Amino acid sequence: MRIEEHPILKFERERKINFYFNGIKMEAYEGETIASALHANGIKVLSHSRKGRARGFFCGIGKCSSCLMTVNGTPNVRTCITMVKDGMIVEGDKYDLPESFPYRKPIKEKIDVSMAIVGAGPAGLAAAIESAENGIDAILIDENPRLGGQLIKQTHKFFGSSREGAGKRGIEIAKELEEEATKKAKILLNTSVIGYYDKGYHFLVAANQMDGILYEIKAKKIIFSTGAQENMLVFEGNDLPGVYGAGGVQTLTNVYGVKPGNSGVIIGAGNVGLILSYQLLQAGVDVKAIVEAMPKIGGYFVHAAKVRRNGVPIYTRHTIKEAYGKDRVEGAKIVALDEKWNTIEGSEKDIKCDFIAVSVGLTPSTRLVQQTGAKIKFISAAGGWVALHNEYMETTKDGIYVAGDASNIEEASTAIIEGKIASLHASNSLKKVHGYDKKMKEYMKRLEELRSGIFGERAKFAKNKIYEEYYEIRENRRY
Amino acid sequence: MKYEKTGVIDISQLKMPNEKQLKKGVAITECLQPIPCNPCKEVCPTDAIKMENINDPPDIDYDKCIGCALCVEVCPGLAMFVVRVRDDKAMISLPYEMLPMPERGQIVKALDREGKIVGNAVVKAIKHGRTNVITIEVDKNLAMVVRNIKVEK
Amino acid sequence: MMKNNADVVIIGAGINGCALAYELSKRGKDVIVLDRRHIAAGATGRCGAGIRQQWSTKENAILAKKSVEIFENLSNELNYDIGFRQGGYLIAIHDENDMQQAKKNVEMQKSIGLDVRIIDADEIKEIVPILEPKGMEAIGATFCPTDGHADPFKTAYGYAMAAIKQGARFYKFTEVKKIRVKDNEIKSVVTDRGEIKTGVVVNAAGAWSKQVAKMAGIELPNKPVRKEALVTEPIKRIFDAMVISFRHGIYFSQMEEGQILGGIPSPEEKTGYHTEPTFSFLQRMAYMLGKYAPVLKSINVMRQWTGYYDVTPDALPILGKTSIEGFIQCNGFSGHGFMISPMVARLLAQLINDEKLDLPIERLSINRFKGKVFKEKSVVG
Repeated sequence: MRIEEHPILKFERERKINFYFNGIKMEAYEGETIASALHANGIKVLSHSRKGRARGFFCGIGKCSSCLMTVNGTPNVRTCITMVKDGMIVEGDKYDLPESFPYRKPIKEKIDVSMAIVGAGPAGLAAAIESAENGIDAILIDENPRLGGQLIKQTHKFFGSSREGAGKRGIEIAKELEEEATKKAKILLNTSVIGYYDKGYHFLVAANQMDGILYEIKAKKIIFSTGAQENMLVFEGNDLPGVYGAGGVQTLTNVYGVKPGNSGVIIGAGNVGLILSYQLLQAGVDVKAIVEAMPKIGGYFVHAAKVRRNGVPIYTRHTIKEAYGKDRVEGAKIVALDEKWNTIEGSEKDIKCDFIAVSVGLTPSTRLVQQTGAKIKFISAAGGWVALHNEYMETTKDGIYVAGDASNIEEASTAIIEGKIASLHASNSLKKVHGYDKKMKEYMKRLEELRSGIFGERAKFAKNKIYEEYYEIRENRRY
Repeated sequence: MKYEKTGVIDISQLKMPNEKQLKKGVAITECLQPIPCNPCKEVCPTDAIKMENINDPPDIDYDKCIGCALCVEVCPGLAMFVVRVRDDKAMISLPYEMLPMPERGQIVKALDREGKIVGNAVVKAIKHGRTNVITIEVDKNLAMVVRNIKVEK
Repeated sequence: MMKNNADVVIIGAGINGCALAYELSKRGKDVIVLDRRHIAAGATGRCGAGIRQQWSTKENAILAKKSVEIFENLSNELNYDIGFRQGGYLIAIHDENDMQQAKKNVEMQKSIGLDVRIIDADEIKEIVPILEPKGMEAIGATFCPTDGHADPFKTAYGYAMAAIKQGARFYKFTEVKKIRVKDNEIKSVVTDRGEIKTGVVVNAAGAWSKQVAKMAGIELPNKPVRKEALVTEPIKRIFDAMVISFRHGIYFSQMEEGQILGGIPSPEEKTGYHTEPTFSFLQRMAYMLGKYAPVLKSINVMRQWTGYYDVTPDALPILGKTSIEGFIQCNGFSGHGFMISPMVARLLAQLINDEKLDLPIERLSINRFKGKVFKEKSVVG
């Protein structure tokens, strides 16, 4: 299942190592996750539910719990973000007494910092760089083994203004940001922020389980750039291994160079579904169909045209009825919808495939920011529950900021600017930033430009609603 | 618009160059939606691409366009093509980000906008860049039909 | 449209409000339950869900035992699985002093027919294999196998659904603004959605009971105290008992799906309406869990949260009539409202319906605070 040749990417694989899956010796490469190593070995069924249903991974970015396995005796390890190590013992259905759990007394480290940034995707990276430019000490924390968030799997070229580096691929933008942030900011990888506590000052607790370090972080300002998570769709068999989130498929294919399967059906013709389909074609995977419930393709026409001229059909006004297969996906049944969204009898199509990627939108990840007491509200246009904030990205809780998808589902270019805006505003409230007004004006202008045009209308609408609600609360503030 | 349902453009929606312009070779844009994006305009050496607002789809002045294909390479949406017609043949420069890479002189399958094979094409030139630009030769009547190639191993 | 009259208006849709609505509607009373939020939104939905009969006073032990008798058949009665399980309570004995008290308690508990005994360190490990008596600083424990726990959400919902079937009405997200009293008698309840005429109001508002009582001109000594709890990731089902210690204040048990749920008092515990969870609780609970059951050191905490104990000066509930005719108290449970709710609801229903009570409740009346206060000693969490 490993991709040996790719038109855009080069997979530089590290040292070959061995690990054990349910007692069977398998090969892997250092620098890849347990889940990707298992996929490369053709293992899609990672464990079973307590009712005996097969479980595979879904989101691929550590946000769901589909990939939990027992690793070296420790149960419930997220195998999609945990690196495989030589000699590792990985078990799927082990519910033993936890007697043999390896316990290490954690090393405690106290950190006192001006700015803590949680989440090192495009927004977080940009925020870290911005704070360094303003002479503010910041720490950037991410639970993944790598910087860059979802940007590291975007092989397509970005739209935008030439001046701002449009035409560059997401992976190139990620690399530039990574390099700059690494030079300028303190970074903690493999580290999950597990809680926020108000001690009269902002206090975060973070843990690096791999190295057994517990961080207690006192910060004057916090930016939560925690991204988003994949939405699920309800259909029969949606828990079969081989039903993935679009992001999970991108991780496998573009980060670790492992194919999710040989032929797939993609659910959702938004930009993510279209781009993913194109990326799969590049990886040598047969994309059988893209299925879209809406009467129109949701993503840009140019993205749709790219997959169409490679022979991929797009079925609008269709939905998936069922994923079938024994223990793993063997096919998908799709069906046409009428104007009232009812399925049309006799329109069913049976498509043989070995995986299904669901790309039906994202939900902002707001669990952490919610712990701060910042006001959270359900804003449907923003993708779900979001922390209310002003145009400087500050929430209703003083010193707590949000940026990027965590604040409204959008895209990487706007996330980068939001990260800069949040960081610049926070920096300036700590220490007057030279040329603040000019810089802020410039960022605001760029953001406005990115949101201009009909495709930016939803984001603009969501943001205006968020600002409006924010000011309403600030004005009637009772605490 | 039909293309919003099918992902396939109708040729009648394209601004057609005249015979003289086609003979010289000009860029054909298949970017129709308002996307905030302008690298094609910025890269154009002859200022042939008009775009008042960054959201405007590019409008190509076929008299100014020299068919250099720089826009083909740079377009993030892979929506630029250069078409040149000579005698009964058409040369088409198109973006190609797949494997395998063809060789010069190789005969490949010519595909239309739905990925259907509509004939054979001869690879005339390969320009490596951020996006590779392949120039193929097909029959003249396929000048506005072929937009992709399939390379067999 | 909200109904504008009722025989009884219950303020608070926690476990006691729901259970009482069930018992009253069963007796043909026309009942309305009001809640500012929803069913089990307060302490009920945040509690440790333990059900214990091992109390230090006979009255409390009898009340708890009678409740367990109801719990045992409650899923059938309500036609709703409330997740009741009897895994027993294991109460640590730390030293000779404890042992003396335990012997006295066990003797009294046995006298009312409870199956309870003193066990040694070896038997502690038999009942809960992951416990480490040395770490617990325990020389033994008392164990009552018929103690247990139930799902507080399911129990509250089960009661509410059955009550609704009997004609009770639940108005959620409805806030009480005023209680009208005339000539020392309850007249009506004014809410943000309208007024309800009634002769009987039950104050089952948990940590907000003090404010509700004030609306009728009654002063309660209750104080809200923030309590914290946590739950871990699920592991294999290892034990059924609830483990508690009065010395350390800790309690924990394993849920049906394998999570460990428990709590411990925190030095940062505050009186008043503070909802924020604290890091010191997390540290303290993790430390103590690690001492009690060292294998738990390596498992992850999933969530921590806070809730309120509605605490009275003697840690006993306030039940029954007040100087205002028709104003009934059902609050001040001080952390034990869930476990005795079935019997409390039955007794108050009997009181409101002018029946003979199965057990006397005068000792729990508001009037007791006029005299001397004896505090219940068997309190954890």
